[in-house]
Amino acid sequence: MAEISYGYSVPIGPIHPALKEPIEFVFDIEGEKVKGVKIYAGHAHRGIEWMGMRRNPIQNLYLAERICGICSVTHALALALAVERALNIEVPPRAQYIRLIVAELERIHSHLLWAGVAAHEVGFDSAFMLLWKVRENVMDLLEKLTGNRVNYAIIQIGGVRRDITEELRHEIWKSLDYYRTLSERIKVLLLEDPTFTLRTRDVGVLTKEDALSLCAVGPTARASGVPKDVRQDQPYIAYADIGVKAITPDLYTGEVKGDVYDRTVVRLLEIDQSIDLIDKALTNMPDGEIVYEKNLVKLLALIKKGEGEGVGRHEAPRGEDVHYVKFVPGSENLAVWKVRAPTYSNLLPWVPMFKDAEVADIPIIVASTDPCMSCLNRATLVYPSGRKEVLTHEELHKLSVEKTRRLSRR
Amino acid sequence: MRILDVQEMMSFFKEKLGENLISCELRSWTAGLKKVECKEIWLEIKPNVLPDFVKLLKELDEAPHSLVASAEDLGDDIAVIYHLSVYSGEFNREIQINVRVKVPKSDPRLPSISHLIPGALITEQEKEEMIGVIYEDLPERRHVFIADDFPRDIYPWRKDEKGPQSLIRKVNE
Repeated sequence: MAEISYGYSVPIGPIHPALKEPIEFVFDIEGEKVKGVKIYAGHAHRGIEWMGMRRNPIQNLYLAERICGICSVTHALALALAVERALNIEVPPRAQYIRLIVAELERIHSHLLWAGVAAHEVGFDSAFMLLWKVRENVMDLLEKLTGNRVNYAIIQIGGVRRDITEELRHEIWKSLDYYRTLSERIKVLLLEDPTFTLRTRDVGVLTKEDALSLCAVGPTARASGVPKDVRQDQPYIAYADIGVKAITPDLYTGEVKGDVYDRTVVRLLEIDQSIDLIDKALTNMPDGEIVYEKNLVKLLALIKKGEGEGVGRHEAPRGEDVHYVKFVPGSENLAVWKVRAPTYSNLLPWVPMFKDAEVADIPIIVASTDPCMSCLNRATLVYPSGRKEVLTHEELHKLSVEKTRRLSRR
Repeated sequence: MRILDVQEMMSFFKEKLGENLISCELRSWTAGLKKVECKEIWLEIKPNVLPDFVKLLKELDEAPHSLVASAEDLGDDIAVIYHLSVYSGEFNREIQINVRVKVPKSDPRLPSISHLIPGALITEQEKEEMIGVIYEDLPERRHVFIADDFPRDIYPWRKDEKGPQSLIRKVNE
């Protein structure tokens, strides 16, 4: 660590790491092969947990939403679940269904975004443009539902802030139909493309044993054949009524290899699953209240009186998100707030994935876990002679694109 | 995998840990119109039996999952809570287990569990840098989540004089 020069120092410390931040990998290289990797994550600690421990949970909802720009509902929902469990607040059923619908719409947009990024990383830019074009539909729908494309501000402690009207229901059906007609075409576009298959098959393999022992989460774990999904394992909100089954790649390909291709399969199948879940939720959504206590002053008074601790878990598009909160009587502020974003758990599984990978495969392997940070802004290669070389993101991307061109010429 | 229900699991812990088990509590909550019930076990154990406790979990499930460990500054003590889970893979079968251990600030040493659950390594490293717990048997000791040039004797989650107050720029004053 001491031999690496960062060229800058981080101003102030105590924050949670796993969010929109730069991350650094140091690879040990022999020829073109990666022999080992060290991961340094702490380059832009924002101190969100520290800030959160000086605010009340209602203020923290908005802070939590800004942990990540993509998983806008994820952190707010996990925090709300933790607070509700700590203080025994019961969420009205209608609010639980609305939460499910927003969370699943977010999964659709996040997985389409990921598929576009993955295509871009291997130099398949036409697919990248097409996927991001079709993603606009769900972004617009989210804007209609919540008022915002990102940072929806829909979650409230004890419920949600906006209802889904009859008119919006029709908008959602329309959007679901749009994605149903696209689903097969997206699968053909990526999974049956010979060059994409060459670039992703047997690349960045994570075995089932490693996924289990290194506590991988989300599509990264499921692609290795671990049927792990919070929506299934510990059903919460309306998932408890509808029922969810974790998706593993053998449903599509008949086998589990745990490589980048399998991670693509899992995500594309999960788009179909989300469409299905939203469909069922819209059909079965009960009438009634959408929030436990509308009056925020009363809600805060209740929080101030309350005491207890709780853990909230939500299956984010990237995997399980965990929030732990603790309240002490007499204070409305959180006494303890621990955030664990999915990428935190997927840091260690990167190490076996990089073993014996090629330098040109680094971008797609990094992208394959869908890390939630402005990742790979640079990589340092250490040659056996001790010579060191720093590659920028652009140079690495060029290497990756050249490899795709080479393969497609064959 | 040896599937026990929550009550059986709690008696299993009580029997195996004996007086090393300080408290053991069942908490549950419901979800959906059907009021599906999910259960969590909250325990407090003595710090020296932490690896033994994880070995007990491994008797029940070969690969227990480590969600994360959270930590709290209690004044004279530091509490670390390991959030673990077993039996994932089927609808509503998983049981979440939250184990609390307390160590005094004067001697904040804890046994590591990362040789039993390799995935817990990163959260233990985080506890070292964030609150100043010391895991003696950690394979690697370095800053993971805060910058490497961050002062070594300051721990962001501490509420005492080792906290980050001196580093905070007061922009509003």
